[in-house]
Amino acid sequence: MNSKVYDVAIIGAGCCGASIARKLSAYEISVILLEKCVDVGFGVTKANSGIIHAGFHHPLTSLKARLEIRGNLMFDQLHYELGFPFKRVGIIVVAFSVEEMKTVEHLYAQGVANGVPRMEICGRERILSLEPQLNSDVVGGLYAPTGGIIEPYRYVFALVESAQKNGVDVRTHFTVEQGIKDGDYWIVKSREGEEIRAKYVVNSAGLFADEVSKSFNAEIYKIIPRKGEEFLLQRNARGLPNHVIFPVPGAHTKGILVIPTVEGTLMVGPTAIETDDKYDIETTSQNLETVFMQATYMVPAISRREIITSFAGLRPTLKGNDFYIEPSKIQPHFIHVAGIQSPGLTASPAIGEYVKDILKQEGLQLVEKKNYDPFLPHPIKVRELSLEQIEQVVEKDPKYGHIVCRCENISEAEIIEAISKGHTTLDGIKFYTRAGMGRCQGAFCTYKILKIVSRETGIPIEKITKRGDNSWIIFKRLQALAENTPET
Amino acid sequence: MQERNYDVVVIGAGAAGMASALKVAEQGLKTAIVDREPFLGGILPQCIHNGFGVHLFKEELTGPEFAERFIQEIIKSDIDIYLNTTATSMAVHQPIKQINLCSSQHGVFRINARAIVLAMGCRERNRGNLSIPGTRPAGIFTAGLAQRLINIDGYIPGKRVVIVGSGDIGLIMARRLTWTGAEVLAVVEILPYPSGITRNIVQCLNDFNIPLYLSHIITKIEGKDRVEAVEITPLENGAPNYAKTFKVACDTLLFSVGLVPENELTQSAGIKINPETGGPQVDTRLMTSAEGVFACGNVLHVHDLVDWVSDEAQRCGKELINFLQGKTEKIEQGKIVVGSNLKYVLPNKYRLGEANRFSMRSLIVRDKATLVVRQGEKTIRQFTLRHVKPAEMFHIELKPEDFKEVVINGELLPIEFSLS
Amino acid sequence: MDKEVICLSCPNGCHITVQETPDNNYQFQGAKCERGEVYAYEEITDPRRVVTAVVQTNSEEMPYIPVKTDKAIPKRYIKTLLTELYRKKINLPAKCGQIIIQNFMDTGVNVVITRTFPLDFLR
Repeated sequence: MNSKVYDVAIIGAGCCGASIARKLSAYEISVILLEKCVDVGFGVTKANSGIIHAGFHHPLTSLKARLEIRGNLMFDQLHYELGFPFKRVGIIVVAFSVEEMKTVEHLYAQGVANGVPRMEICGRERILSLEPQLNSDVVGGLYAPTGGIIEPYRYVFALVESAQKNGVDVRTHFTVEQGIKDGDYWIVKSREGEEIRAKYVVNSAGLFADEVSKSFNAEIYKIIPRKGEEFLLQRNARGLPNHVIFPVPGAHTKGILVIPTVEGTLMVGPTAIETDDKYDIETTSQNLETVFMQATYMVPAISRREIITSFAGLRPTLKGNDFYIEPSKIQPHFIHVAGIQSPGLTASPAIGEYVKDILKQEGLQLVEKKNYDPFLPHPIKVRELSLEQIEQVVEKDPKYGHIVCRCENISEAEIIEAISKGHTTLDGIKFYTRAGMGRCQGAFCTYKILKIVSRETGIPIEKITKRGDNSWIIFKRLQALAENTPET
Repeated sequence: MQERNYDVVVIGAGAAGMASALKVAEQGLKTAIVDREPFLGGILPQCIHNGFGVHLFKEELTGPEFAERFIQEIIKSDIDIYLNTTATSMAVHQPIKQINLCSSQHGVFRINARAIVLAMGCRERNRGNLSIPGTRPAGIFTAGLAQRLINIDGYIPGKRVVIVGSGDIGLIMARRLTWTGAEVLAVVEILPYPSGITRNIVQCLNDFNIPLYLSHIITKIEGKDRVEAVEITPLENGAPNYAKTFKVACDTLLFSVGLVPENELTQSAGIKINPETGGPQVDTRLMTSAEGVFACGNVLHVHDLVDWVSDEAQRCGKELINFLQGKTEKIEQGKIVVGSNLKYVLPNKYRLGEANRFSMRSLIVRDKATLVVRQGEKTIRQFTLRHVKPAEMFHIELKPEDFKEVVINGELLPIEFSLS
Repeated sequence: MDKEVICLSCPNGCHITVQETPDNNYQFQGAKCERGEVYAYEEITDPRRVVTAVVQTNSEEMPYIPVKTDKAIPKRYIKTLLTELYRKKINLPAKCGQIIIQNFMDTGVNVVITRTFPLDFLR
């Protein structure tokens, strides 16, 4: 087989892989980003809570704390360059007892040591003035104004788009099955029967990093999925806070959070339960109870009547709970980026940098691209425009005037743009544009989007999927019954 | 921005919007009707089954036929029709109201109007609202979406189907899917009695031997990519008995679990919402908390029959005309108190000197129920109702003479409705 | 043997018990009006249903158009009727009430279109 040759192949297009790809796109090297799903960001990242942590949760002795703090600082620039939604709304940790206040003091000290700017310890009055919706039993807490929120999938879409713009190849539906050393090159083979060659391989395969490592005959380790369930409540939900609200953390988790999402909905969760099934993304009624009990303890006004959807995701954890980012000691030119659990999203920009440095140390020649363009054009979003601005864009393209998703105010033109960027599944379009993400959950727009996708791509309706593989939406057309008589 | 001036703008061109628009246009008021879809009729064109119009037209029509009775009138009238047009925001707390609209055809424009009729209808509750545990595969539809896919677009959503909820749309879809060759394996209803009307139980389920599981719930959805199975669990004493859970393999799940008035536009304009109905609070004129803004149909409260929607919309039209003519600008209204076994009474105000019509929903299932209308200890009127149940609305009318003794020192005393 | 029929003549939904008498006649119990007895008799001897469906058209804008039987059709013909409807293709414009199948299989039942398209055709 005549396979294409690259300097670096990155396995896994989650927030880490995408960030690494974008970082490397600034250099005169050839890079390919490989993803097993139908779209990028569809693995672990998709179900991430979207918190940009301030950096007070972990001691500096851990790699993840160092990358978290560095990563947090990088988001303003990334937001400026790429335009994904990002707000530094600030993080509040709430304490409900004198004992919990001790933990708050510990977090504060740790944060100060880590260099987290502008943190405060708040008394009851101060914390209630910041967040009037809190349970009035609150004793006090911690306020870290540099914490923020993003939409994780749109962050990944933007990173990948920017990487592509600067020459990175992206291949979806490429499930890495085996890596074979052939001289200076790795031959990377996919289950789908394709292969590529690369001098360096970065393993940022999330939940499957252990299997990828094994298939390259590199280190043996075990990724332990830790499941988190989240519940999304409608726009303008009761109890919508101003900041991200954390309880005082437990041993392995930061607890159940109350999150004002960057798009104005309210999210509560996640749970943290270890599982041995990498495909277990079921939600349970028991965890719904747990999440709401804890969330409403902090913010009593939150109502489960306002839930619009729920979902679960898996954090890829390693024993020891730190990130594992280093070159293989067994296989040359194979870099592990594994165990990237919380605060992986926050750390991801720094991980991109860190992996670039590792590759350099490992002998990859990095010459800066002269024509590197870090900026992406900011896509037009009708929901964010004034009437006068909408008037202008509709004049240029009347499809901006056709509102397809009434709940989130998404126009046909925005959907066409998502499709043109390669997002041709319903979930891809949903995550790119928000169409179908609102209160009706697609009841009013699914048929419209199906038709737009089919018209723009030529994919027959029956072949359009929710998120690739066997996730078909339409069984067949009515006209097919002309040949095939129904049983009645 | 382009501006257009009307006396009345009606938002939504379904059953309620069309009937109210016709009523006001009939009086020579300059009227516009606005809808998001490229056609008039709202949800009716996809409701191809029959059973509409029995009360209003005294004959059985299909949804498209029922709609067409109004569409023909609208086209003949002077009403300006804006299709493919979304009302994005409005300013309503002023004598001349502003409605901002957006469409691919007309661009962005503003309508200035002396009065507004809200007739945006409702939306379906969905899987997320129920928080059903399990995975999130493809193949989960609301019944209305499935109906739209089949009847308008000709797309069959699946071949082995379980329907959640025994509302009428779900039942109708059981038959519709069966007639497209799909196999409907179960209808699962949380309540001990069906939510849909008897005729649909007989003709849509019994005719095809589709099992109806009353007092059962879906406790889990399975399937990685597409729905593969659901777990169904009986309720015993109101709680799920997991020992009796059984699994049904299927590829499609349809939700027919109730409707919610679609009032985001209403709320964003600062109009007060009644938490019981999910619609705007209205007085006896069907006028919302914003003067000159009226509401009717499913945006006000979810109706069981479209005939009542049209009826209410026509009444709304008349009230609007009276209001604009200054006849009811200031009227005295007394309060209606919702008593035993009633979910709501609409409107929740009454007025003197004319007949008052009220719509309400029962919280109980009962044959030969009694509705008592009281002022304090005194019974004003009593109605015997043949059969009440939560799924069906009922209507009563109080005559002017019923209000003889409710005024003391010029004050209208509260009247209580209760059902037993 | 007794059979129970739920009357669908009106929203009352009377549960009517039908008993066949030795002389091959029927006795009805539970009907609140005479329409109920007529209904129950027919439902026992010759059950009928109104069939509604959509039929393919030659238009991209309106690929399917709704139709109905103008009267209830004997249940045993429904399958054959549906098969014929799925095979049919209608050229637009079409008008509400327009007959597309006349006297289906000599049942005296016609199939009619229930939606006018395009609308300006109305004028």
